[in-house]
Amino acid sequence: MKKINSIIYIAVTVFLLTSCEKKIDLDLNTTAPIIVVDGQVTNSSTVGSMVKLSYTTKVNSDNSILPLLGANVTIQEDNGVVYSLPEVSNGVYQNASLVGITGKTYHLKIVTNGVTLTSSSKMPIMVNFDSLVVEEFPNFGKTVKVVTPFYNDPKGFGNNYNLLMFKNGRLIKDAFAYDDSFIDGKKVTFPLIYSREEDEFKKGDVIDVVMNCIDYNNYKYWFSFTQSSTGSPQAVPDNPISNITGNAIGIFGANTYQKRTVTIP
Amino acid sequence: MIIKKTMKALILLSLCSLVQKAIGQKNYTISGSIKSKNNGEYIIGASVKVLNSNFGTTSNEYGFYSISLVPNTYQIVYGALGKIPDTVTINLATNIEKNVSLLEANNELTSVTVISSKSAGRSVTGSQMGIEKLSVQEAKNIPVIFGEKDLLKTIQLLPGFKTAGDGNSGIFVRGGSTDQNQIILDEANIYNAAHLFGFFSTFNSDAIKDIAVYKGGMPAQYGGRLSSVLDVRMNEGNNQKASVSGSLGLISAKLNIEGPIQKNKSSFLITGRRTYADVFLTLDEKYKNNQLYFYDLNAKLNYELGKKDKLYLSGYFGKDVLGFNNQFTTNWGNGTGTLRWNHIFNSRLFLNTSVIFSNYNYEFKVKNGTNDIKIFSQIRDWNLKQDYQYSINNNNNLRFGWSSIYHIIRPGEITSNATSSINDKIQDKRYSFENAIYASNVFKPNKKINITLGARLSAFNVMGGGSFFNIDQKGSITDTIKYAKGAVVKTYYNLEPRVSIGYMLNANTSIKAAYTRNAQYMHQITNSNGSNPLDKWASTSNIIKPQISNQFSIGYYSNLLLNTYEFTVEAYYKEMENVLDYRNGADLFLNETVEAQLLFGKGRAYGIEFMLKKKIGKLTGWISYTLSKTERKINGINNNKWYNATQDRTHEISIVGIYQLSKKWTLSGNFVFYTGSAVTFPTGKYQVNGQTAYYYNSRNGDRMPNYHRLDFGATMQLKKTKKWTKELVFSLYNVYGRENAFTINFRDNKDNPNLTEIVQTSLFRWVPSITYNFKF
Repeated sequence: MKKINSIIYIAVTVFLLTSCEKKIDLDLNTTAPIIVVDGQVTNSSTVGSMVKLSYTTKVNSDNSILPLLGANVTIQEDNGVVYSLPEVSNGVYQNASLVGITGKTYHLKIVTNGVTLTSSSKMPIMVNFDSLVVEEFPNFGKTVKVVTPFYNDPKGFGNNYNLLMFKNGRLIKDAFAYDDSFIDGKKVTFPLIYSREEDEFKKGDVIDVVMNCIDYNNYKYWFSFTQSSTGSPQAVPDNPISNITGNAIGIFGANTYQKRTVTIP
Repeated sequence: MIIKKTMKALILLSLCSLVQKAIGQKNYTISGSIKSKNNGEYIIGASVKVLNSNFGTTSNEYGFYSISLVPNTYQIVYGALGKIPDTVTINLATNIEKNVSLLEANNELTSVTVISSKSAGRSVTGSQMGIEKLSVQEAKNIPVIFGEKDLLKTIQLLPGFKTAGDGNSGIFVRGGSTDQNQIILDEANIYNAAHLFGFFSTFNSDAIKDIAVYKGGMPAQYGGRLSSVLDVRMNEGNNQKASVSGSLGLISAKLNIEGPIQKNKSSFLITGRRTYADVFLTLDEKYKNNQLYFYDLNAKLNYELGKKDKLYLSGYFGKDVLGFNNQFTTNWGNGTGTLRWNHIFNSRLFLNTSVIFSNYNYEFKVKNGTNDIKIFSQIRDWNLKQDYQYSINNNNNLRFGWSSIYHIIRPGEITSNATSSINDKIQDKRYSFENAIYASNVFKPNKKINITLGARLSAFNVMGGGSFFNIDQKGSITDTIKYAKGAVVKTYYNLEPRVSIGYMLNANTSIKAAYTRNAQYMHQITNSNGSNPLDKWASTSNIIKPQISNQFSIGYYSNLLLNTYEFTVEAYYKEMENVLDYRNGADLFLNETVEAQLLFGKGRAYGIEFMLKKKIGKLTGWISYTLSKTERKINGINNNKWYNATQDRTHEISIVGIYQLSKKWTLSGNFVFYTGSAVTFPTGKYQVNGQTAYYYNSRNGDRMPNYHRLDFGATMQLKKTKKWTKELVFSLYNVYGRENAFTINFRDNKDNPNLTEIVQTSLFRWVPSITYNFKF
């Protein structure tokens, strides 16, 4: 339903049948690189906890990451243990022994070149990811295969979800973030509709779906991300609502982690 | 409340008659109505001029005029656009009723002298400024997309009006947003004047008589929107003979039936239109199960109750339907009804009483797996108003009245089937009263000066029934307060003065100045990328404050070369308070209350508009140029600093030419250029959780590419018989196929996701069309 604008846009295009796309060059303004925080604590010992630090790059450069090296990264669990996250590869800070526990709040602190960045996130209760099924979905004159995750939202507001979908191990770049203001206490059965034609599922494709239960600030981040920051925005372009304090953008989340896998028949 | 207002109006009225007594000169009145001889339609804005004097007036919205003069013998010239003027000698010794019917000017005469400068909108005389008038007659030959004559699109070729997008009928007027235009059809508010996302307007030109647009200096009888009034009047129907007309175009077909119920006394009109683009869609296998059409219906009845009373009943109903494979369907539309009663108390005092109903709703259904979800929203108005027009003497014309509107909004209702994952949610209805009293007087102290002094006092009652909220800085609800139905939650008052002065430098040149204050209580919440039919209307509440504007304007008006040319310049400065926009990350469709998703701020707009118009001859048309600036400052956007509004376009040029080649052929062309709209492009990018994200550092700091386009049109008059008139209209939109940017998006390259590509989508290149019009 968050795709209403794009549906309308498609409708306009279909109606006219005359629209045309072309690649163009634009002389864009650039800003000085800004620190990007991409961190999460999970409750999975296999996935663990990781903080990636990088800088923004120019729009017309390639998508490779400009890593932020040599930062001092720590995560404190509630008021207890402080875990240090050493840099395991360029810009990637990790500590295998940090496995999150639901209900606990994690405080991130990053010190780099005299700059201090902080954030915190409370790991919510884990809602069970019941199953993942393959369904057929009508898509403008043809039927495509999609996957639908099933889970039961617990009664009472405050559950938020972020879902990630991988095709044959490669992330499909569509974000799916939901809160429970309209699904409270319901069995949730929303198919995950991918937006790009090249992502279309074929027989034999292995689809992984990761479900993160996230806190409200993480939901706000991912929701505003899908609305405004994807480069084809539905709303006015803007930066997602970050939970990082200090001169940086990005997100830090204490998320539960569950994964289900299906093969397209 | 209504009683109180009526009392006030009556007191005002008696005061006026005192004024009249004080002035005390013995005046007699010539009054009556001005009609078209051919079809009996009343003429709005026809001129009544006393020869060899500076006295004169114009007919009102119902063709009625009244002029008071000292006893003498006068030669009076009656004139109107496209009509042959009529001169009548009157020996005024008592009040005289004089009804006039003007003959249609045919083509041969157009080049002589039929256009009266008075009725052509902009005018050298008087004090009214910031007005444009357009009759269907005038707009007829100007090429438009899909060949669908459309006044709202033709208006966009005039200075001060900016289109909301390619082929779009949405309008930004002098830096205002699209919801700041009051669009009224026979006085009824049209909340969404667009079909098919704005590619067509709701106004079927076959049913429309004319449109008057005020972009500044709004008269006091109008109120409720900041930036403009688009007053659209429907035809009444031919009261001379029955006629059928219609057209077949590439996109739509239209049929119009009108005729007398009793000759000269009463008539009816029914006009319908439906698009059939969906018929073509079904031809393509891919789009077979899709629906895409709109239709609308206009109807009007008018009936003379006696010499002094006339009743009009008019209605409009329109609907758009759009559906894809049962995957989702949506429909939306307006419905309006207006009952009006004209009463002539005496030759000087004219009263119109109106009861008006207006409704807009949309429904959106989505099928998402096992989820069938329906979203519904509606806004409905009931309006009662009275408008008095009183001709005190030859120097004073008073207009006063009151209006009371009851608004009922159903902000959002979400319902779903049993297997759905969604809980039903019905947002509380919002009730409110919008009341106003107003008075304005047109005063001519001497030959050269014309002053209009007016004021409107508006009051808005936010009424209870349901929950109201307190909201913190971040947009979270901190408190919920329940009000009983009928309880007043909050009342706002605004005094809106309207002043304008015209000064004649000589018989052909004048300067004018005006100040207008407007208050707006109903707000459409759009994400400023442009509007769509699902944009919500919200009434002023405890959180949403009324929007206020102050506009100052000055102008220079000149008729050149014996009225062949008209040159006008208007400059304006407008400031706006309490304008609103969505918060970043606002959920536009599913939310507890829309108020939590909003940010508030102010706006300012200024500019200068030039227009040179050729009014007479084989070649007619205009060149207009606007230089302007439009900015917003909203707390929470762009670090609370001023930024360019989306509709900020520095330069805007349009050139329109119509050439009468022969009796058979009329050629036309128009060219449009404007600076690209303000837009936000990324200044950097980054990766987060595997996704490519774009970084933005200021709002609307960039520009879309400049827009320009040339269109051609040609009308071929087919054989004319006594009974039949037929014509073929050809048009070619975007002659040189300019790819004007509709959207510009950034995305990963399909073949090499490690690279970013910038993709421009453009909509219309070379849209040819042909339309067949007939009348018998």
